[in-house]
Amino acid sequence: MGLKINNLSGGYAGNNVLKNVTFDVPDGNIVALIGLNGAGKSTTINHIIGELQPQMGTIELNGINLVQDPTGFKSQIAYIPEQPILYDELTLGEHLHLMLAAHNIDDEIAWQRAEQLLKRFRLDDKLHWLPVHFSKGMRQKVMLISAFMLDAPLIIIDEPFLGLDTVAQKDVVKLIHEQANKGNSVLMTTHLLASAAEFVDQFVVLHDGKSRFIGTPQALAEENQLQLDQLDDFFDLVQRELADES
Amino acid sequence: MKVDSLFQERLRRAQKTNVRYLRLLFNDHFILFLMIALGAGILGYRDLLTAHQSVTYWHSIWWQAISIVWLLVGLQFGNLVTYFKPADRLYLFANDHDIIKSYLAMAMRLSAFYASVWQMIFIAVIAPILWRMDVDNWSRLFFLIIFVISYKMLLLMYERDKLFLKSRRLTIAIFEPDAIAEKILFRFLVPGTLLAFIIGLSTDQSNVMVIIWLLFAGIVVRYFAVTESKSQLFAIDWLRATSQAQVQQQRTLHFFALFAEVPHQPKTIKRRRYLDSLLKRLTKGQGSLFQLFLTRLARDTEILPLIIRLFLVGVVLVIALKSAPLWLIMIIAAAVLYLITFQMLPLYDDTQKNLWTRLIPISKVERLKSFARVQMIVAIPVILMMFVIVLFIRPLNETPVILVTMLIVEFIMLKFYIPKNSHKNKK
Repeated sequence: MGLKINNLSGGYAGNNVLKNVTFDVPDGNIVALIGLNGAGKSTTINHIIGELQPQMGTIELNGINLVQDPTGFKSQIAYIPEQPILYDELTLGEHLHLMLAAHNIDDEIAWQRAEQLLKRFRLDDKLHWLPVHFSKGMRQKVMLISAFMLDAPLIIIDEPFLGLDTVAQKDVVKLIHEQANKGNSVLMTTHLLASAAEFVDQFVVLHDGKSRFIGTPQALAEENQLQLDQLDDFFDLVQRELADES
Repeated sequence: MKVDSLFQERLRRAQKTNVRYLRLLFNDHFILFLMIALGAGILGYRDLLTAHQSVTYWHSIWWQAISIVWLLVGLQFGNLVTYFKPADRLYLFANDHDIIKSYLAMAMRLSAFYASVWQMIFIAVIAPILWRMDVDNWSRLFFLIIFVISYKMLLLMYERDKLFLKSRRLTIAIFEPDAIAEKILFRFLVPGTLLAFIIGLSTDQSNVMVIIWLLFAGIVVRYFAVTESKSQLFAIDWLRATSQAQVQQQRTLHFFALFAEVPHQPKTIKRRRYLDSLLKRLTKGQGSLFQLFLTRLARDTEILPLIIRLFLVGVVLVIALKSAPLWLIMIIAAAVLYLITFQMLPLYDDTQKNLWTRLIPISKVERLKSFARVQMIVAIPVILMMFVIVLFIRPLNETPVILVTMLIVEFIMLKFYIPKNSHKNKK
């Protein structure tokens, strides 16, 4: 079933950012939420992870409504924020154990997966390190491991490549594919459209709090008379269009 | 690490930190302050209780007002302590149900304990005065204690309730969250009115009232109670919950920072546009670092309020001890000036830590001079105001002595204390 967002309107107190946003992230699909700054990408994600209460509309994941059963909904999500968030006083290992415990996942079973990921991101010898000793990229890798080890039905990634070296970027793409192949859904935001076009199933273009386009990368490129590898120019076209309108 | 034990773990960590800060706190400055403040307070209180024996004096409406204000101040102490951390919004967001049922329940119990201790302290301090007023038997005092503590418990439950994201049909939303009107109503107007009513009751009336109040409180508790079925529908508003916890932690750190240098304090600023014209006038024709130090001070939310509070404490002490020996007033005046300078030093260190400052091609001597001038901008009004207050409440021949004392201390601060301590802090 996956994630279904239907007519979502909402935002922060006194500031209604989203207006009737509707889109789906079906099981096994990779969907990228794109838009200029202020388009409503972060607000949409904050709604999906349950940090904001919808003014109108529904958010459902595999048939569970966020408002009616918040814990049931949120326990199906793994989230990677744009900026890494860590506890200063916890080691890398403790972060991972806490995340598993909070998701009520058996530590022994999931730990094997965690170890594979730690090895993949070359952090397997840093389990006892505190965040203060981590570089920016390492912090981001901790976020990735914390999320991917959960094998959650929906993984939300806010700007997946930020601060990562090229090796890690390739690893992330592989992991995203693995998730989708397992039947889990992936929702991500990105500004790197041309790179994302190589692996996402759908783009959802947000503009001024509304969904302006939903379709495959090919469809988006065709609609804007661009080649797939030229999709990074899409926002320039949007800007130009806006300038013409005003 | 289990979610169940997370709160206890954090509590232990917080206690450890508090002990560490208390050790920092019980340094020379705090002992000095405690000696002066407590001594002055006890002396003044004893004088007040013994000097006035007439019934009409104690039955004055002013004493009622003072007791109510005191108890209302007490009600502002002992807020909800959750120890939530910013990263919780990522690591714990999938387990709101357990967090609400177990973690927050523990947080509520701890907060209730702290809040009760605060209320008892505030009541104990005012009890001798209440006794001389109409509240002159144990059952009435007991009702007052029950009322104050139970009202505080209701406030805590209300605070906890605000941390939940609930479906709108479950919410009685009269105010926007954290509206000033809400704070004034529930934290001052309602308890103030009820306290005025309770203090004016006779013994028989208060016996009846205690039952009515407890019944009412029971209904409110039932409304705010988090049952199993309710907790399924609630989610934690993590943004609000973590920011509430941060504010709470800041308050504790503020207290410690009054007398000790607290490391790793998160910094916040306030624009304070109304100070712009004053800043412009003071910095006109001055060097860039002087402008930088003064602007940072004017927009700082830690140091500037602290300086004002220290000055006000000094003024209150000087007024309260108007008949104390001259040497005590000299010590207070000197201590105020010293503590203000001590509190200003982090402004220098913090500015120095900024890469922009370090890139400015100005020598350390010049930087210190600029900082010293900013200290003077603060110290001169303090010295003048202290001088004026002393002029009004002390014999005329003592005022030059106080003035000279403060000027000597200021000289020592500028010439020795600031250069020495800024050098010490520069690693």
